[in-house]
This record gives sequence, C-alpha cells and structure tokens, in this order.
Amino acid sequence: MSEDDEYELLPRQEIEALKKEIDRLKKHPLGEMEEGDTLLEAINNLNNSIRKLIDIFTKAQTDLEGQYSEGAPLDDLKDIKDQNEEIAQGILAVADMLKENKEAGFKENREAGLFKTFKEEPSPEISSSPKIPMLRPTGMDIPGGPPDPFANDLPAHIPPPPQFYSASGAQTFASKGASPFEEPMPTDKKKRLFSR
Amino acid sequence: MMLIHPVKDFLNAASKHARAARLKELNYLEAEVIMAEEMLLGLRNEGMPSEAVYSFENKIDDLKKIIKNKKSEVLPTS
Repeated sequence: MSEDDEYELLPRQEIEALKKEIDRLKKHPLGEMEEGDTLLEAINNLNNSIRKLIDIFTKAQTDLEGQYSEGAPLDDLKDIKDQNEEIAQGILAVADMLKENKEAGFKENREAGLFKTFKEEPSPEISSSPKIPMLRPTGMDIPGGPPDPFANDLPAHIPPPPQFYSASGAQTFASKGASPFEEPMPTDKKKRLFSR
Repeated sequence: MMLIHPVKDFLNAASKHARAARLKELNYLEAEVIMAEEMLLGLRNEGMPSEAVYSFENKIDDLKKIIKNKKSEVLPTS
C-alpha cells in the first residue's frame, strides 16, 4: 500500500451493517427475490443439459473410434484412390476414341463432298423405277398438219435424253412384227460373282 | 463401397445416444407414474374420498398419455 492513502473513521453501527450485508450476500448471491431463484434453477438446468450433451458426444466419439478402427479407413481411402484412377483412365480413353471418330468422320465427309461433284447423275442401274424416254414422236408428224408448238422449246444446251432402245433392237421388233412393249425373255444368264 | 463421412457418422451416433438417453428418462418417468398409481390405490383402500381419487386418476391418465406420445416421437417411425 502506498503511504499517501487516506484513512477515514466510521461509526461502529455502520460497520456492523456493512458486515451483515456481506454475510447476506454470501448466503444468497442472487438476491432474495423470486427471479434470483428461477435464475439459479435455470442455470442448474442448463448445466445439467450441457453435461448430458457432453456425455452424448463422448459416447458418440467412442462409438465412432471403434467403428473406424474396425473398418481400417486407410485401406478404404486407398481403394477410393485406385477407383478414381481407373475412372480417370477410362474417361481419357473414351475422349480419345471420340476424337478419333470425329476426325475420321470429318475426313469421310470431305471425301464424299469431293466425289459428289462427279456423281451428280445417278446411274440407271441403281434406280429402281423404269425410266420412260422423253422422246418426241417426230415420226408421227403429218405433213400439212398443224405445226408442233413444242418443236423448238428445248434449248440448245440441254443434251438429248439417253436412248435405251438401240436401233438394232427396234429393227428386230419391227422385223418380227411383235409389239415393242413385249420384251423377249432374256436367254443369256446373268453373270454372277460366284457362278461357275 | 461405402464412403467415409466422419461428421455424418458422428452426428448419427450422437443422435442415437441422445434418443437412447431420452428414452431412458421417459422410462424412468413412466415407472414413477406407475408407482404413483399404486400409491393411489393404497390411499383409496385406506379411505381416501372418491372425488380426490378420481382427480388423481385423471392426472395419472394424462401423464401416461403424454409419456406415450413422447415415446412415439423419440422412437424411429420405420
């Protein structure tokens, strides 16, 4: 204590009252009112609840430790790592395959686009429906009759349509007197790939 | 293969233990109620007025119902 402290003389009665007040506060720290009792009770309940919660958590921890010690989590993690590696390799393989397929398809498309310019006219062998020749009946013209209005409508740059009946064939039909629509049965066998 | 979720496992274990503790408390309360019922029967035999006996019986029945509801809440439904 420092030497500069001041001392005060108090009456004896006041000192006794202060001592009584200290004893009363020591006995009832929260006061003698009803709220003090309820507050104390609430604190006690909270203490009990926290104790129960801690007890539950310790039990859960012990359970979890036992469960993990039985299951060997390190081995599980290694298994998970291996599985993830395999999955990643599979994904890479699939991506490479897709890339190759894409490139091959692109090349095919390019080649098909180049050949398309040369294959504009479909071959008559591929077409299934029979083609009717677009010939005009020039031989049926009657002299002195009305002029043909479609005689000169074809432009010069359009090539003439293909003739499927040769002149010799027409002559044979004419010589035999048969109708040109009755085709003779084919006598020659078609050559096949595996025919002997 | 089961994946490891430590937090989930911990919370599952904690909820299991909390449920068990709650059930234990409810069983204790149920036992207390049964003891009170037996004491009430003894008081009736001793000559307790019937009005008081009926009121106590009603209270005991209410307590039993409450405990039963709490137990159904704590126990898993599945």
